[in-house]
Amino acid sequence: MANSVPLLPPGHSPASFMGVIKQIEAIIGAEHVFVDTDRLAPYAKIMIPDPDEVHAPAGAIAPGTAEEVQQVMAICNAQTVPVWPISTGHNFGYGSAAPAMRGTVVLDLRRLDRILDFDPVLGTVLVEPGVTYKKLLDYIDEHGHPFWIDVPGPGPIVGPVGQALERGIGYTAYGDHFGHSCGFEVVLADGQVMRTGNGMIPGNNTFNTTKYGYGPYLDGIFSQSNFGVVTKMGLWLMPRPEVYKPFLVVFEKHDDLEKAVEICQQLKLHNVIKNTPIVGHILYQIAQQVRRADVFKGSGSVTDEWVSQYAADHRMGVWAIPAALYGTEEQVAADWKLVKKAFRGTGATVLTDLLLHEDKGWQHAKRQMAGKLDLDEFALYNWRGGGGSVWFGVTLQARGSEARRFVDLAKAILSEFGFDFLGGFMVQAREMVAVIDLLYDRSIPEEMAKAHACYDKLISEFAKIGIGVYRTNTGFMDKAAEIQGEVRREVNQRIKRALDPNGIIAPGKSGIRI
Amino acid sequence: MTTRREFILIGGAASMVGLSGGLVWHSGRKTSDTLVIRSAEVPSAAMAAFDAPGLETIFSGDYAALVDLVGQHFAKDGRRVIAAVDHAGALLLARTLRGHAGVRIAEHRLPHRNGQEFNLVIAERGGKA
Ligand SMILES: Cc1cc2nc3c(=O)[nH]c(=O)nc-3n(C[C@H](O)[C@H](O)[C@H](O)COP(=O)(O)OP(=O)(O)OC[C@H]3O[C@@H](n4cnc5c(N)ncnc54)[C@H](O)[C@@H]3O)c2cc1C
Repeated sequence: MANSVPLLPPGHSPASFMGVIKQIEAIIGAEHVFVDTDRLAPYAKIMIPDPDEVHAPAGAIAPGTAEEVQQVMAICNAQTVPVWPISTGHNFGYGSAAPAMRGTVVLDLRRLDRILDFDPVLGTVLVEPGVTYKKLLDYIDEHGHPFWIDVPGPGPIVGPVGQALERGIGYTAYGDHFGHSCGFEVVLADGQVMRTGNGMIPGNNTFNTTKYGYGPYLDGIFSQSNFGVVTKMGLWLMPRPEVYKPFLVVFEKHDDLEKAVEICQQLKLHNVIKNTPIVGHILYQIAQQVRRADVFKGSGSVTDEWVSQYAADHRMGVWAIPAALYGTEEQVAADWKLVKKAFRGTGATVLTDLLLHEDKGWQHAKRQMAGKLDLDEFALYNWRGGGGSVWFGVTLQARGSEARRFVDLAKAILSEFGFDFLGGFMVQAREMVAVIDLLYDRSIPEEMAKAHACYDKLISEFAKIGIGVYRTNTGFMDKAAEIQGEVRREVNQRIKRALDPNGIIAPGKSGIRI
Repeated sequence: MTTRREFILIGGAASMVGLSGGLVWHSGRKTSDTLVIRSAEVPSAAMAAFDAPGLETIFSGDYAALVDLVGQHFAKDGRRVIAAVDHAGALLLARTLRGHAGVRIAEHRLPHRNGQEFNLVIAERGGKA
């Protein structure tokens, strides 16, 4: 057991906190309890523009079963020790594994990593929070099940529970991760266990097949929230298609953005493109291939002119859109005709795997759109170096004019602080998510302060035109919640007080406290 | 909990090839259960300072393989990993080793004469005291 306590939860003395720690050790084993600085360090490593101390945890505990989670929660509730649940804990650029509030204890669920049920007819799987996509894919491959998974950028090291709860995004036809979850088992603050849907009816077998059950639909309130700890989740899997046809559409000019978004929106609305086409700015790709200091000699942000020139020199476009078709031979052939027709005469080049197969960025996109795993996107962090990253993501109507408005305002704000526009649009039938990765060097305090100010301004300025984030990092959750208004804040608070009266689960998550 | 902690200088060979010297912690004996990983761009002489008899692996930019390799090393009771890799590789290593009981991590930046920079990550299973 640790003999030094560097940080305490609010209201605790070293003696009272160590008393709680001892109780928890008795349940889950001392080797799964961390309170010394060295072993806690990986939990405290963040990429967002806040000093590590702001989000430093008081400890980390890693129970091994849902029953242990229940017992631990009951102790923490009784002794008012706040916990920050994480599943695989790699929420990079949103706060990583560290809590919103300093002095919270990380509740690390990585040891709950069992695949509990798999139905090869209905395409459902029941997983615990520590199951990674790698584990799930290995399982599917081992058993020869005809299904795909859907993964985010950090695929192999993250998992479906964290992704669904954060309402994250992937790249096959099942890319809406919350949308493809079905049935949560939740441990509440007092240690009680509840299942959503029809999951509480003895003998019922629709826990992972029927989303809504009876009465209010509760799953949603456990996403991006702090109302419970999810210990099991049902997930729907995409049947392996007979034919997978990935392709890349390239537009050469900055001004092609509106056109690109509008065509993608129509192809989505009419269900031609089955996954989420990403209208991606080419700097996001360039940043994965070269270091900024080696290629850009100017001061301030990388300019549009520089991007155009670099893209032209390297036979790239300014906007590149990876997308895919899935289905039978006949379905894919018919959809492919519609895709080609939609882009004909627009100035776009439509490229298939045949032409692109050597390209590293394409290989990554092709893998992602087939639910395969790599970590290639992390090469982004060589662009500036220094390990700083914070995602700014908002939802917009899926219109070309909205994309233009987003790019113009975002670039104006980023360039005020000398940061680059690395982003794109994930276009759906009616909405799109616009995402920027604000990269900066965390080892330079002034640059971190600038990144903080820049992100703050992005939230504020977009709020002025009615645009809110779809998800944010632990440093800006209060601000993002404020934008939603007082009534919304109060309703969240009332639910919080009802379900977690001592406020022990993830204080500050999404700006919610008792 | 304390483990013996020595500070050593990446001097000598490292500075000869243009990496600036610096203090990094490094504890315990150099044994064959050390995995040494080096980006192809990092001169091998830079790593000679560690004199690790373990197998040296060249990292060529496959981050998933890097994370996997290091994870497996510790899962198979390896004691230490010394990796001179790029920013992204270091960032991933420092974050993915969480939960490998008792593994402690130190990161160090190594500026190179040619303007490039690498990160040295030392991950070590500390004897639980
Ligand atoms: C290069 C790169 C690419 C990325 N690409 C994508 C992408 O394509 N799509 C995308 O969506 N994101 C992306 N991300 C962001 C992020 O890394 C992923 O969303 C990641 O999957 C989240 O980490 P996780 O799954 O380990 O979740 P966790 O860190 O485990 O969980 C995230 C949060 O959810 C809550 N939570 C988690 N588990 C529980 C639980 N059991 N009970 C209650 N609350 C819980 C907590 O608040 C926690 O902080 C990317 C990041 C990087 C660096």
